[in-house]
Amino acid sequence: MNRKTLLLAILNLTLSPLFINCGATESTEGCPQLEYVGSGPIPTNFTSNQQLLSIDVIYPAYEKGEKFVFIDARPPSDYKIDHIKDAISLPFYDAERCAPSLPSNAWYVTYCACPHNESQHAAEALEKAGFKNVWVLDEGYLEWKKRGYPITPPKREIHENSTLDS
Amino acid sequence: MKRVYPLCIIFGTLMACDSPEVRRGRTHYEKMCRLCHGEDGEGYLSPRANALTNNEFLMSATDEFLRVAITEGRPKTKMSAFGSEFGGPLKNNDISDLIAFLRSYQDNLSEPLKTQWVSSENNPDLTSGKKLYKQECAKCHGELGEGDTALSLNNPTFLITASDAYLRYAIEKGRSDTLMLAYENVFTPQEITNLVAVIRGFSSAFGD
Repeated sequence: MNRKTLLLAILNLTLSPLFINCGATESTEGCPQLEYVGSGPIPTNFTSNQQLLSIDVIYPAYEKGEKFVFIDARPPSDYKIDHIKDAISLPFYDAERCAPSLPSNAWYVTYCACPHNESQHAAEALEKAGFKNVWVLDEGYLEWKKRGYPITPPKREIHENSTLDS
Repeated sequence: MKRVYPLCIIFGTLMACDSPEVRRGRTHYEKMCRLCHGEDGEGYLSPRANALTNNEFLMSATDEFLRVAITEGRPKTKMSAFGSEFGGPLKNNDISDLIAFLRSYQDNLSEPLKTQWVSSENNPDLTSGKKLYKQECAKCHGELGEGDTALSLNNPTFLITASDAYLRYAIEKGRSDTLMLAYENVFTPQEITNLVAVIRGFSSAFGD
């Protein structure tokens, strides 16, 4: 092996790990199915230019059965314990991968318990994928629970079956 | 400081120099932990998300401590359970990779914490300990260890896996480059014994 070949071999070996994933498309396996919280009209009060939207705007739309998707951006271990009734589980770290499996023209509200660190990350991933109508529950999931708004399983049931409820 | 191998500098491809475990662990970290614990594990991007790559932390945290924290999370806090048996995305071998990645930031090898940090010659004085805790620790860790600007100390999962030696080490050495100072020249050994006992007592008040 001459010197030039040896140098090329070393260059190839050292740089190749940087290009392994080029062009690879991530699968959408395990991504959630679309589920709206209601079948009414699209929310009329989601008019803010800000991504963060108050619970006082979101809850009335939810209660009236307006047509949007609630996305629980927490890890599934938290969703499994309890979540907003009719919300789908899309953890913040899977939002980018799963965006292609969801319609970009639907209306979405993401939430977490941080109160909005993980949910904002998920919302940004969806927006990056071309979604136009994405908002974030500003006060977060704990405020939703504190107010006694609908969750699954219902709060009474959680008290009976789990010690993890706050 | 992250460990870097001389040959890696020569070839200029740092990524290729880590072990496969560390590389896989980094992928998990960037996907799931970075958001709260920071780009390089410096911590506190989210309140109370501690500095995971801090050398004092890594020196005193056993692999088991890290594994339980990742697998089970800290119930009733913002730290979720990431272990698959708790409904999370990470299997046991993924968690081992994540631990290998965190360990790659450690300057020195861990050694068993010295026995002098495990036991004290004197029994703890809880009354004095509570007074000192209120004066020096409550401002950041909360009156009952519920956490404030610093992480919570009252979580049962944390207290089960954190030994007395771990707690003493944290108080004595602090966490460099964070707001947690080293108190070994500030508090007497007896005062630190008292504080450890106070922290142990927080578990019973958890969730009240």
